[in-house]
Amino acid sequence: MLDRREEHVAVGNRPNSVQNLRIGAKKDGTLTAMQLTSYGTAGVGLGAGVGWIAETMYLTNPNFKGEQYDVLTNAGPGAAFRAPGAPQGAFALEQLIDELAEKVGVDALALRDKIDKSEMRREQRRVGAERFGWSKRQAPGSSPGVVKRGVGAAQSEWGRFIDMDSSCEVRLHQDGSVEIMSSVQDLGTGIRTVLAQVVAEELGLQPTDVTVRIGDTNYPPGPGSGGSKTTGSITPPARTAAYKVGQQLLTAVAPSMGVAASELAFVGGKIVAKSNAGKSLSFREAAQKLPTQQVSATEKRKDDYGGFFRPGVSFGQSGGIQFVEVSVDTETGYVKVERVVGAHDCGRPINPLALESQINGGILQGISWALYENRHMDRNYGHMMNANLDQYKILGSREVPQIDIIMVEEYTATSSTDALGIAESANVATAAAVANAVYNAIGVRIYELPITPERVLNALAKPKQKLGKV
Amino acid sequence: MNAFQWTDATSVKQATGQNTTPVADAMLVNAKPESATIFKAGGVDVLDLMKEHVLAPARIVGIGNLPKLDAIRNAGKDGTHLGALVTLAQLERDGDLHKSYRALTEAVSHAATPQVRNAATLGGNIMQRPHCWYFRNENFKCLKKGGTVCFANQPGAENKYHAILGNQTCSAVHGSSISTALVAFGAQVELTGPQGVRRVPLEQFFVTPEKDVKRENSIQPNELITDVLLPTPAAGTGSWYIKFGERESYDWALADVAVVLEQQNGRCTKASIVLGAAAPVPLRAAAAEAALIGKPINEETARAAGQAATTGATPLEHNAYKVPIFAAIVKRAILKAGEV
Amino acid sequence: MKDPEENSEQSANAGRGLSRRGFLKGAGITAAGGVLMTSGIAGLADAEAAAPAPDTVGPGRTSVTLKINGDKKKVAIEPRQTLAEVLRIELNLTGTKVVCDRGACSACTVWLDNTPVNSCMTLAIEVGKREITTIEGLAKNGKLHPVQEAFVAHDASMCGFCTPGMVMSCASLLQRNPKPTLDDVKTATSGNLCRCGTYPKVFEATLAAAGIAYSQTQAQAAKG
Repeated sequence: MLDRREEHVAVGNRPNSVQNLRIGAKKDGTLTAMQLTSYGTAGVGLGAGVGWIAETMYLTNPNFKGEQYDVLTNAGPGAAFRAPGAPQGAFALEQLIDELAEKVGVDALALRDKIDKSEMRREQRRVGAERFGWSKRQAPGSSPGVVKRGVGAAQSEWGRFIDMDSSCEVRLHQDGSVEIMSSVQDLGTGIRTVLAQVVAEELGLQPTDVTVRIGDTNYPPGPGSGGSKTTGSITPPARTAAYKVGQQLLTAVAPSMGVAASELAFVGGKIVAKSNAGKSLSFREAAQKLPTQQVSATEKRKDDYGGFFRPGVSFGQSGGIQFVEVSVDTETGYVKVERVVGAHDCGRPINPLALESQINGGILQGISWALYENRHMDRNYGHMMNANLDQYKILGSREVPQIDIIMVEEYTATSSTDALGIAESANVATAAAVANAVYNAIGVRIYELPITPERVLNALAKPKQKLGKV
Repeated sequence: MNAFQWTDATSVKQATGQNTTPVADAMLVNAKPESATIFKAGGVDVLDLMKEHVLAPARIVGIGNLPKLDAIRNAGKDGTHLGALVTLAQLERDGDLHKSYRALTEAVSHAATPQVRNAATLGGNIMQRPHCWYFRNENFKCLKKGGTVCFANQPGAENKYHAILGNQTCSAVHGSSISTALVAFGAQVELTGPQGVRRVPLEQFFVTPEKDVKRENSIQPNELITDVLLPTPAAGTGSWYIKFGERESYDWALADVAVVLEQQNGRCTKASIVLGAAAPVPLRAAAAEAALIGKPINEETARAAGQAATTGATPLEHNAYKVPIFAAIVKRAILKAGEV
Repeated sequence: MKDPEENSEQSANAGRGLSRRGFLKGAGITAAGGVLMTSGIAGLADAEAAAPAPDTVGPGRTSVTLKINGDKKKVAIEPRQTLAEVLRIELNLTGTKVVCDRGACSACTVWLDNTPVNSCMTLAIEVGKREITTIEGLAKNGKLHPVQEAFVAHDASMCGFCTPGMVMSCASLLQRNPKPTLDDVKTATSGNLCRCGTYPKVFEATLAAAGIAYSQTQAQAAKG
């Protein structure tokens, strides 16, 4: 096993970048052009781009030019870190949109209502703003006292990625036990529980009745954990396989129950005649009537109903908006995130508790990246100086704000579960929202991450910058 | 971590007869590690250095079980004795210390993590080596390790956490934030060696790089800290400590300060203001102290003292931001200490 | 009654034939740095007199008996092995996790005599007679500890690497303080790093195990 230093030096880091972003707009805020140039480095590797968020989030934009360059350096490789590129892209884009709003004299959310065509985000802005108390915000820099308060918001967008190489087998044994097997793996996202839920629901059982066997390549191929694609890829075949196994069971018990298989349903651990609830058989008794020791079905991910938006990408985008309140100590430069409201969507939520955890994770990693995380490379000798958890600083328990999450459910009828992942979309907006909130607190924009006491004090010491330039 | 022999000492006398070397000497690049024997109590710092391959002793003398050194004892007007093996957690929880030496318990409760505070001893905390990332990195043979260069002071170096005062030779800041408070209270450290016991004001125990860059204190071979004596504060003494880090959870201080004030008739008669993470040693801010004497403690005088605290600062490429931070936390700590 | 401080100087200098002046000269210390005196530690001399002789072991393996989760385990260890290594490698108690291996993340937290410490920064040879409790020792008679149950119910674990350490920190907190505040929980876990961001659920779960109703959303509603 690698130690912490080796992880830092050899395994990978979130790539850094320098972005130039220019926006052209009419006086009413209508976008006319956008130009993005970024130079990023993932050390000896590639992948230091800043995503396509500037290109896609505001689709009213007619003229877009984007150039993203990888600069190779003799340093440790970059790694795909929760929504690769997109938090970086959003950090620049969402600050610039706020600056545009200020310049044309409209509210930052009102401008987004005008230029963001996503109906989902419109609703998220509405419910999020209400819960957060957006209407109470003050003018930038108007907070009194040494420790100033500020609020800010930023939006996120992430593709609805699907891995077609996603399959699973569901087995039902004569003793009534049910297994689902797939080589998908659970990195802590909760897919193990979600698979049990999907199979259990289809068979009228409890999730605890289903044994989930995953993380072994002997099982049918499953999706990798990346791109927030796991739930959207593996739950539809799980449901379909469970359905097919269920049909085999119903067929096996139909004659003895004297009812056609099509007239039977799985309800509360029983098989029940739809027309006569009194006519039922427990699931375990029913399983004993199987003609063989086990029945099984193996299914793979099928096309979305109606095809695909792009190959491997389901219809539309998932996204969200996050509202952040910060305090900034103007004597010490210390920034503290006090409160976050996040409004997000991921199709049909399957496990609300796990979803909340995923969004908490996205937000907390976002705050961590916004305020603390930085790789210190000695320029003279090329060594990483903080390759440990003492000095590579990540958020700890005392930096956890109050987090309030709103799930906006969206049913698009694209697959048998209509469910999607959330992890990355929950991480895209946070740093940008923190930066917008810091600006609202102190009236000075900070264009570099992390927003350390050093950078805040340096920014406060400089004469105020002109608006409209990133 | 290298293999080593282990000796479990059961008395101070035995321990001081084991031919031990100060950790600082065992870390010199020209030292013979195969012959070095060092002490270890809680040993968090020693193990850290060994895991980073910058310390490789042949033998460790465990002093964690030495008798009688793990007590806090009030000796009346002589002051309070803190045994060297008292853990930081013990200090943190002690009600009498909390009442009489508030700056100390504030400093202790902000040190390291709860887990480390349960294991780390007072003596070990004072003896810990700096957290300069060049010093702790095996690839850099710096002045402290007997090399010829201070890498943190070179143009282009990463030095945002380094010293802003007394940083001409070496800019590693002292690692013990608890010492910031101990020095402010005028603590004396008791050192026991084979030939006997000596007691030194803690402030003088620490050594500047100009005196000897290879060590932070004047501990001698075979010597160990056995006791720390805190003088009894005069009536009307108030104290406070502020640690400023980039995080409130476990973090090293970017800047910390301990303030001990005596007031009579609404005026400050005695002030002890010590800066941590400012210099290679816990540093008395004499100009700040002078700015308060004879004056009432209020926003205006505290602010002036805060400004004076970093008089003569020589910031490096990346740490000038520490100057206003010290001004702010010195001011705030003075106002809190003055509330008594 | 004899003066213990008097005794301590006598014992420290006994039989060495050194005058104070000689010591100062020999040690290269000037009198300006301090004066020779007696130890301020009460009762030190008596304790010193009763101390057994020291024992040197290693660098190879030496046999020790560790008290772990109520059992005594005899195990051959090298002095350089940390308690975390001995638990995981020698005793196959892999519930204790090693992440930073420097005492900076507390994933390796175990209890020594009911006190949480970093097992990665404790040498196994130093544990002695102290009682070790690991995450495996929290469940009693096949029933999870209330904090463990609450972690499950509140989804306070994602990837799981920090979880054993978090549980050990939080269970220890409830032992010391059965009715903690949110701030107490934050303090108890201030050394436990979690990369996934389970903190809000760790707070919820720990308070729930203490019978205190709290949720991250309720906290917001109460404030708003």
